[in-house]
Amino acid sequence: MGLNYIVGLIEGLLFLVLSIGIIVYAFSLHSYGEWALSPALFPLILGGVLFCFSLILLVKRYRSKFKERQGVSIDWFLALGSVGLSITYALLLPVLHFTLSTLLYLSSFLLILGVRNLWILIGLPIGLTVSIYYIFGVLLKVVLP
Amino acid sequence: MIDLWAFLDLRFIGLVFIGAVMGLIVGALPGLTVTMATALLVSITMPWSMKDALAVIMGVYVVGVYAGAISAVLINIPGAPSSVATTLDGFPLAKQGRAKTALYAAAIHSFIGSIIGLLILLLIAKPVTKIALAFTPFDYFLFALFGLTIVGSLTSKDFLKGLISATIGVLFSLVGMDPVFGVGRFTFGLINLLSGISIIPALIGLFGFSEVLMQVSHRSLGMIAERLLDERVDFKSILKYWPLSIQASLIGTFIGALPGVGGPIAALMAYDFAKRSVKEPSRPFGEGAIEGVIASEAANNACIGGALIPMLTMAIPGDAVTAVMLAAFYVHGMRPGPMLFVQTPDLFYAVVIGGFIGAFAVLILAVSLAPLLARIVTVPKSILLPAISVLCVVGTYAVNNSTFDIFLMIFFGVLGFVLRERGYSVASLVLGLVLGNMMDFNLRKAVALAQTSDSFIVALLYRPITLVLLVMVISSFLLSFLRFRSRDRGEVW
Repeated sequence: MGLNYIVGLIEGLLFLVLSIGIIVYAFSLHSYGEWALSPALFPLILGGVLFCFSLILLVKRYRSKFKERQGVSIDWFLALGSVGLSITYALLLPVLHFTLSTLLYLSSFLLILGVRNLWILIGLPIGLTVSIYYIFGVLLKVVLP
Repeated sequence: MIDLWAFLDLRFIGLVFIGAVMGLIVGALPGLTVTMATALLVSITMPWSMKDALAVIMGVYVVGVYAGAISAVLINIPGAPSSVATTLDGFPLAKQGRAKTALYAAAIHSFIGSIIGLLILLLIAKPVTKIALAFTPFDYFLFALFGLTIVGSLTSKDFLKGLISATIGVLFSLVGMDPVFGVGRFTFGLINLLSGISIIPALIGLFGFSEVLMQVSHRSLGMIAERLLDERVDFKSILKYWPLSIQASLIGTFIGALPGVGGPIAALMAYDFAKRSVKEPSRPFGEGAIEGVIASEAANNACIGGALIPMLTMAIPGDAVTAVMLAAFYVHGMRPGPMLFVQTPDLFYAVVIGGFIGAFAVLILAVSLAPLLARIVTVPKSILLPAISVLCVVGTYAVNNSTFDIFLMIFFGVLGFVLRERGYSVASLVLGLVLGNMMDFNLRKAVALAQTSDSFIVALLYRPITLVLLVMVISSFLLSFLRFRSRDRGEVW
């Protein structure tokens, strides 16, 4: 029984719980008597459909335990680092504004990805920030953060 | 009698080309939409004559729709929602070093699609409108459901996972204010979610940011393609797909003529059609089949002519861009609709001829720029990925000037990454997201209407269009199901 098989089972269970949550939530939306126009109608149908799909997925997972293939290894440090960095960038944008926060973001991202060439570390963030500022902000009059 | 040659003056052509260049930039940059550019143009061109304004708008519209393919092919981010299907085979082609071929194919068949759509607009606008307007709310629901049954084509591995993705996409489309009662659904107290999930941040996240995470997490930091194949693009070999292009264009035009359906569905349905009808593709679909790019691009550009049909003949916009164009007509004191052909026929021809010139602009701009643009795939990903991330953020922010949208984009990026890692198709999720609202609203409307009649089933189903659509839904679903089932059993189908 491999890790992929267990993750597959958890995945099926998660969808099952999600579908039950949607059905319960959908009932809370229905307070207008008539079902035809109720805002709960479609979420309820979808919750039911997802419930059935999750059950089939779980059964399929259970039956395929001997046929699991190995997944590709993931560098979680890089994946989570990129997400964390992007969230920080989004948080910094209103505070430091576009130019400064983009320069910092790009330099940090390049460093995380292993770029050590000083010219690229300095030149690319400056070049790209100026280009985006010019194209979006000046040419296309798009408001930048 | 209208003198068509009067439109071929240098001023008119020049204005279309100015719009075309603008459309190329707007379409190729993720987050900037043709709708946004057209809305901007309505205000800029207010003091101009209507004919001049239409020239620029048609240039933006036709080239902007094509240009979505540029980022779809080169960096796997659809520049516009209607280029979603182009990423499925366009990006694999770029990875094989054949970005130039993909871009040329996209341009040539966008040209063919645009021309066919506009010809249909010119020749048979009225009958097409008549069919499109005969659709009842339940027909729209069935049509959207039929759209969802194409998940089989968007899912190369697991049909069930494709269905789950599509269901989740439909659920995401329900987030926001309910269109009938005005109550918030799935908003969890967040005011920013009341207006629903904007499609652009979701698209950029699901395709662009998730791609960044995929590449980074697999430490795939070389180039998208080790080298650009030194291929002399043979136009004859691209043009040999003209029958597929024409069929995809007809699908695109018809879907475009259905109000509120639009380019993404047209492109995805044409892609599905290509996958089902092409028996021996150049490569398997999803792995760089040029037929996939051709079908998607021909259909989304043909959709332009289709979307203009109800707008010009009945004043009902076919998509978001034509809704803005409608506003342009009103701003200039014109009334589109049946009287347009009687009172100001020159404006109808300005739209059509502007579109034709725009189609030629696609060819000229794409052929001259494709070799240059294709070089992007040889830039190392350690440099390209941070740049794409910034474009994702800026493009998302540009839609509504909202920092919340950036977080939404990151959320969809992470979701897309997890789903793709687990073998779920993000294109199916996008399909659900695009179709969900249409399904919800029309199903409720149809059920409510049918309840008022004597027989619920008769009121709902007993119409030729409805029955045809019902058969289409059931057979499409069964065919996909059987195809996957037989494949799982190792049978050749």
